[in-house]
Amino acid sequence: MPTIELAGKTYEVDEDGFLEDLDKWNEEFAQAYASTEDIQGTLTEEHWKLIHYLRNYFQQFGIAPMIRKVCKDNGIDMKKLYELFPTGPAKGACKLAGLSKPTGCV
Amino acid sequence: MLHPPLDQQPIDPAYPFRSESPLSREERKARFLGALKGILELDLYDRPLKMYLDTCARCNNCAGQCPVFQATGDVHDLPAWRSDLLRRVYRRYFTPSGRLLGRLVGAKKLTAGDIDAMVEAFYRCTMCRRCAVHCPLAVDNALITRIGRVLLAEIGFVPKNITVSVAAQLAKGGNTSSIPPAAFIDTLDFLEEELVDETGINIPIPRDVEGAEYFFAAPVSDYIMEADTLMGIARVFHAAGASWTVGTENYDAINYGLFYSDDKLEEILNRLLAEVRRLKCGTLVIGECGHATKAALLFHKVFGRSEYRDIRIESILQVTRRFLAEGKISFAASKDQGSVTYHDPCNLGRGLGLYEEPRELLAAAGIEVVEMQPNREMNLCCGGGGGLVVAPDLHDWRMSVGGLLKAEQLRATGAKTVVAPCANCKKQLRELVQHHNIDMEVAGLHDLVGRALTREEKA
Amino acid sequence: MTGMEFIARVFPYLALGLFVLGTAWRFLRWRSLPAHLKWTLYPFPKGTAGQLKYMAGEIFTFGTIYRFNRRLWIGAYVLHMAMGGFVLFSILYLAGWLPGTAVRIILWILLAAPVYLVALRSFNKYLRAVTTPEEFFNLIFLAAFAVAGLAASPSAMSPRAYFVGLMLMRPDAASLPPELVPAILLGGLFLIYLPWSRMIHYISKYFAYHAIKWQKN
Ligand code: SF4
Ligand code: SF4
Repeated sequence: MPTIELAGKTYEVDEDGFLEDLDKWNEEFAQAYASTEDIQGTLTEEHWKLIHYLRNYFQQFGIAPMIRKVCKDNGIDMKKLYELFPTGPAKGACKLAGLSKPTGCV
Repeated sequence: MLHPPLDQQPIDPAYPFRSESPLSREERKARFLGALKGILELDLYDRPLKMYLDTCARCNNCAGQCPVFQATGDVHDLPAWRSDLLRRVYRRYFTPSGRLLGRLVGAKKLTAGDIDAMVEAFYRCTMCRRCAVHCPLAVDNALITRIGRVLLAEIGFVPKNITVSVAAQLAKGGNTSSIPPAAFIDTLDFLEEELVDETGINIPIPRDVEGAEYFFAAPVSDYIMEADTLMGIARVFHAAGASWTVGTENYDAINYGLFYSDDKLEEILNRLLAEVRRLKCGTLVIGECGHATKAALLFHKVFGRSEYRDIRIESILQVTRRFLAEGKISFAASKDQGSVTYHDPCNLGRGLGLYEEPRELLAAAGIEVVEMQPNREMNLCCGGGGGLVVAPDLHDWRMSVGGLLKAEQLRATGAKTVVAPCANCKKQLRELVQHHNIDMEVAGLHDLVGRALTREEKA
Repeated sequence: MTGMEFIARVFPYLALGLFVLGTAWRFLRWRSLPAHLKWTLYPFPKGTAGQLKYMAGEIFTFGTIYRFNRRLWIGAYVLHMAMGGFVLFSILYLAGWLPGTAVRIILWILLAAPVYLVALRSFNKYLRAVTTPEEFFNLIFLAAFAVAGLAASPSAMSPRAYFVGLMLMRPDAASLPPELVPAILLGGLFLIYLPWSRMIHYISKYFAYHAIKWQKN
């Protein structure tokens, strides 16, 4: 199993860098990962709101919500979503939130 | 001067896709040949496969049509060169002339290195079949690619992401995107709320309705990515007054078996048909997805269990087009959509002949289409066909090679929106326009069709 | 029977017979294969008339290669027409309707086209990459036949009597000009080889189009 070291801690991830265990997640993990997903500097209030939203939904349903739902529930549009997570909601946002990698045509 | 070009080994060191087989290099050869023997004995492929393996004029007409070769200009991307990787093995072990005359007739002993070359080569072809349109001998290199992949799968070479998705789908109640039933239902509820917001009326997405006429199965990724497409389809069914349903025990039409395995194809297809039967529906309607539609339509009579053969299978494009012809749906005067272009998904176009249905629907909805050049049977693959779009490690290759010509073609239309009724194409096209900085929206067909429906649904 | 007698009286019939049998075997074999996966490529010409028209156009113009591969087309088209032309001109010559010169001209073409194609396949990077020794072998085979025919043709003795005898099923070894023997041998061997080579596309093309690419439900 590949591992990754972020901010002095080691995490088990899959080969694309997605965290294996939702519960091993912490805020430093997200912050340390930000730059690899093309996010400059420290994560903002808006980032955190989305990250926690995704984690909550995932905890309840075992999958990230429909993208349209992400936008709607957070009062943002698709463009804004991509501004916040330039590598895309499925890749960047899920990765930072510690969710497992979305599969299929996603 | 005799050139033995077949000795050149691929391939592009930058090509990121590697797959590892658990078998030793020796075992691979024996099993590969065994699998080839098995496939050559199948009625299913007998005539086309042997014919394609026996006759190729080596004229390279196919090369001029292949978007991948056009992008790289590399001899290893010549369709005939790629097909020869398999052809020469077939010749050597399964034809009298090849056994007797060997290299003189282009036959070659199989080596583990050849297998490595095949792994890359057969996953650099998007199986778009563009090259088959103008082959003087009607050879279809895409079928050879498919068989090549089936053989490679037999010895353990399958792209990781495809195996993961298929394993998820074949787990109990699973699907390729691992959307649990509770999340699926939550998503349906969400879509219904959105439909109320958008139309002001209740448009249900019926679940598990026994005896409904139409059983609808989308590529399951739509439930994450394509709200508008799904809402459009719900609006069409509703406006037509059709009885339809989705099933909560199996809601994924995706069938990656088409790309690498007959066994998986068969299993996935029959599971979906079992769900249609559970709900006693007459017609299985496949959502906007090229490969899923082709897998179901082409293989239904071959791999579908006999008790499922009476189930009708249709593409949602055919269904909506028929509703229009029967006067069950109609469209309001056009709202300005900006300029729209239409992308022919390879599996729907060349594969199933669904060229005019989507165009007629768009025209009826008052949407003028700026055609891409070329289009219809000569349309360029999005660059993510053949399952390549599923592999994140192939992203860069899909952007700079597979979809290079497509990106230029999109840009040249100057359209504001590209419509593609295929989950696979939509994903690739979105990534393409972003990567190549093309100012264009990517949409499904029913996204636009649904919005143009007249409001008789209000009644 | 001497070797010469065999060549003059048996071999031509044997070669032709094997050619016909080989072709028939491959045709029947392909025709008898069971129903296969539907692998239609859309759209395709509607109706028998449309399909025949497409086929005829393709066979008589090599339209697809003409459109996309002009340099190869020149050689391939001329070669195929010369092969057909050789048979036709030979018959007309034997019937006395054409002078021997006409056949000689065709043979020159039948020599030039393979030479051109060998060169093209050797020097064009992409053609070279897909050309196997078999292509070169086939082309050289044809060229050798043409050379043998040309070498024989200026002979003092007219081959007409021999071939007419052959056609009337009264082959006469004495009327066979010896210079013609290599041409007869090469021509006969080519006929025997043809159905088993990948030049079998004169048969496979029919199935590949009608039974596969254009297959209706
Ligand atoms: S166009 Fe057809 S015959 Fe020509 S090289 Fe390609 S596959 Fe072979
Ligand atoms: S199927 Fe498409 S990608 Fe594959 S060789 Fe043919 S044109 Fe190229």
